[in-house]
Amino acid sequence: MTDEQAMYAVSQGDLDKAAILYERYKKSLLNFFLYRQHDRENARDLTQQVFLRMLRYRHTYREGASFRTWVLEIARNVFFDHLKQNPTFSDLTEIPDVGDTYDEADEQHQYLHQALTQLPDQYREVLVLSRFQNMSYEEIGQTLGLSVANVKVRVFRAMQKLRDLYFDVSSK
Amino acid sequence: MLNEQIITDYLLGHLSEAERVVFEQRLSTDPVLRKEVEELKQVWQMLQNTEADTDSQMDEAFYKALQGEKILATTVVKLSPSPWRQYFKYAAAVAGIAITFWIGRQTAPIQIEYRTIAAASTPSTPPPTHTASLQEAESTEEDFSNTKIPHKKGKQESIDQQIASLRKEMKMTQELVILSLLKERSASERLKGLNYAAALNNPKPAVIQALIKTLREDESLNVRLSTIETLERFKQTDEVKKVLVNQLARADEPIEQSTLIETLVRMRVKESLPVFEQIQKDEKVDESVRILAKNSIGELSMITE
Repeated sequence: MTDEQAMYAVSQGDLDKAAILYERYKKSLLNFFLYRQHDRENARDLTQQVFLRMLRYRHTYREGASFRTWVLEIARNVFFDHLKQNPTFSDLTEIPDVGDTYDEADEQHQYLHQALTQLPDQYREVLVLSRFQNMSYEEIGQTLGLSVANVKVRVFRAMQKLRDLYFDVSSK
Repeated sequence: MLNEQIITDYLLGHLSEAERVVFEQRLSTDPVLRKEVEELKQVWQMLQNTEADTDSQMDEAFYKALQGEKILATTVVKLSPSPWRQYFKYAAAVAGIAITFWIGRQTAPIQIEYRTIAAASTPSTPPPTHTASLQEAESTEEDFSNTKIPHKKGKQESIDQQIASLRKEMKMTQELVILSLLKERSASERLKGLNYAAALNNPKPAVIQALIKTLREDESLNVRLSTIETLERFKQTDEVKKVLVNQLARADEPIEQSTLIETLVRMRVKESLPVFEQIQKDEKVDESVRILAKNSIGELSMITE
């Protein structure tokens, strides 16, 4: 069953099909929020809100519309609302200190997140979307209002910038 | 294609097999390009590897929420049987004509209404030359009748019955139009439906149920706000009160929350106190809403039955 078929069934009242979508999207959505801020508790809460809105606004889903872009739109709105409600919140949250127990992978992880927080928003956004459920260039372009060629160029520059920031952070 | 675009395609795995082979050959002969691509590849892979996994706590919360939504949905389905839906569009067309007729009747002077009916029942009577009163029409009727008083009373009853049945029919069509408008895709049409509903005196349970459904499910904030106002006008049953309290617990738009709080205070719904307290404590809720909840707790607690 495709995502679209499952969501259409949900919109018609077959709520059990929402479980299929939850299982398919929970990890992508959790990471979608984790890329933007590092508080796992928050990311979990925001992911939960996306699924609640999906259920509550199920009637607004139109048959045949791409579920991936529809749910992504909800996720972006949830995140904007979160920023509005927490004006003091910044997505440049400090990385929690992992203490003495960290190993090399933890360290790498930490540096990467530090680099990610320093990445300009437009670059972070395009990387997050390319990782979100393997979205196509067309879908990313549609979401960001860019042409396919511009999406590719922006992904490239985002990765270049992330690499520079990563090496910069890890060499300190 | 620019280098940048090819590298992106390569890293994200969007090159065809042939394109990939050609590109890798190019990499083997161009050390600068190779270094660049390898570094980017390393960062891209790290990005993939750092992704977090979900946990059972998250799953538990979702399945609990799903269960709750299923219970809500079952209640709504039971209240609004679907066979009605298919007749709505036809009913709306008929009702449109009927409403125009009804509005005409409502706005016309009452004397004309009586005269029309009286004249219809006595075709040979010449039309009165001035604004006819009911008594005049009745006295004309009397001249043609041998069974004087009993017949007069019978006629009057029949006229009253006709008017009553007409009004009943009009109300029914009006309610059908409202139900049909509330299902429209356009928010302005749904608002129109709510305006009509607000004009009803004692609406059928089906209308109330449709309003409840709109309040719970409508995506438009304006429509939901207007629904709250409309529901407040009608007889404030326990069910309506309960629905408003539940909606307050679910709402996350500050305007909707404030409107619900104000309405519940006006309706003196003491059952809303726990939700007010919850809102007041919730730091995620807008500051102004929290203050309103706090003040409303005081106001509502002071009201004595």
